[in-house]
Amino acid sequence: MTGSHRALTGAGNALRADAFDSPLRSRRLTAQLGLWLGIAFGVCFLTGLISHYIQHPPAWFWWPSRPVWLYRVTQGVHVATGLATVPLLGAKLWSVYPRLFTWPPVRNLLHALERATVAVLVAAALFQLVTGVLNVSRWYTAMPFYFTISHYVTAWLAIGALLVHVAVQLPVIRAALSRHRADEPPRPPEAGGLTRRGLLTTVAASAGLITLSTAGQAVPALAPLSVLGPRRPNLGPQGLPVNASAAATGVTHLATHPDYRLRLTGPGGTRLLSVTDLTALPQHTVSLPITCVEGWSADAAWTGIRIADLTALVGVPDGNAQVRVESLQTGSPYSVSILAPTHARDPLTLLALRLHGQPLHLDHGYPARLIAPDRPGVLQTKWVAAVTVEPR
Amino acid sequence: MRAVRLVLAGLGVAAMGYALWMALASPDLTPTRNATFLLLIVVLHDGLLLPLFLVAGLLVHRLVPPRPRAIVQAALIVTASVTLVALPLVLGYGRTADNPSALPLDYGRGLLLTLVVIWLAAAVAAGALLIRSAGRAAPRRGRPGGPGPPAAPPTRRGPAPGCRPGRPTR
Repeated sequence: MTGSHRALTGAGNALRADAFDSPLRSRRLTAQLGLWLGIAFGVCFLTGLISHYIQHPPAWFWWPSRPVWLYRVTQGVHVATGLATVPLLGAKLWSVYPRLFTWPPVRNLLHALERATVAVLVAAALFQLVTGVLNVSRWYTAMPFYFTISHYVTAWLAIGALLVHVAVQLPVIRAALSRHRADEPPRPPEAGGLTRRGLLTTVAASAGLITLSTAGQAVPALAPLSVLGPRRPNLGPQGLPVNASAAATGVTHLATHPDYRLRLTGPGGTRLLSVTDLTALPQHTVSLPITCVEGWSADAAWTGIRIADLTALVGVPDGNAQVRVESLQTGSPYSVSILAPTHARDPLTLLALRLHGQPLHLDHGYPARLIAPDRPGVLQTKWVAAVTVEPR
Repeated sequence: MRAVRLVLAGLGVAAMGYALWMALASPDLTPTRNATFLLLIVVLHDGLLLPLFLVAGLLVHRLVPPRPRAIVQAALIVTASVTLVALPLVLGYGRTADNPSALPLDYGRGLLLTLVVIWLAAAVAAGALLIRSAGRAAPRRGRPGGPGPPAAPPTRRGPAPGCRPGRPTR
């Protein structure tokens, strides 16, 4: 959407939208904001798609277990980019707002289709940012629907409408971004007030400030500056944040019961292991980040038994199998997670019993939790009840 | 370019179609609720938030003299952006008693601190602008016959105030 003033100067503009038009609005401004916004949405779409596919892998999808920080980066970038997009989308919509009152509203079928696409794009873009911000701040009650699937489906809607919008506006965009833009005579600047460059700088500064004040939830060095970070990487039981507590998931009784046994099943049979049995197995310590889909992440030292060693106990010596990890927690879509062979055989993948040298805090998954490299936290199953080897 | 546009439009329509198909086929999705929410935020944005900004813009135009106007506008834009992102954290509806590690900070204080930084920066910028323009308004105290450069460099300082509004160099 560009070229606001043309549409406005036409007679018959019922709302006299030019009454609040600003000389700052121009095709070039809109095209530049649009370019940035397009890049931001592209980054969010791709990183979001990665996160979705890791959690709901289609048959063709493969995700590596190294480097261990890869998901931490993609998801951190997803959330940080989304938050930084807020001023960008605001400025973009402001720059084309008078076009909302174009007169006549619809000229022909093609024009109607184009406007409908823009409406879908605006609605979907606002939906993504609003639900994203609400989710990061854990305000779930404000969203009367299931966040993850809604955010995912609307992402496809937004990116589709964005592509159509770019296709429709491509000649305008190219002309506005090129050096010779003869078709749009420069408008005399307002006395005082922001210039186009001033506004672009302001939008960039807003995005930068939002990033600085929140990114400390994933980048420990920024934590002191991040007065608006939804998390602090070192705040929580045992110095690590928690997403779902034992009390909220109702596992406290089962997890602390003396009769707790881990059910380990494979081609070689089933074994029931008590906490003492687990402690007697060879222990390894690894340093792995825990990364939440909400964007925060933190490094931690985990001690426990390699999943590959566990699967060897029940007849899969090479560890080349898919492993199903179930929680004591029931009724949640995240009470089960599947370890693909890549992750199952990785020596960094542990059934962890200890965190920073101490037995796991109940909220971190006592008596045993899964910790694997390069995966979202929702798949790092806590309060593990059963480990099942599923040979391919 | 025609081919590029056709390919982009085709991909876009396909992506939107995929979204629509998922919306109707997914048992976990509630299309009417989603659509209502979608409509609601568009109405709130286009009908309330943006008009509010326009009114704020109008007020700035009326009340703030031209010279520091750009600084005030910039500070207001940054303020609005940060406040929008921080608001759900400040309201704190996401806090639960069982998990103190989620939303552990005092976000009202955090937002206030951020706003203080923004407006301090704006005040410094406005102050610098005032000092510079005062320097320009005062009669040149340069010594035409002195050893220094004979005249002020033509860049930066620009013409006397009032000639040209110019954009603030910050």
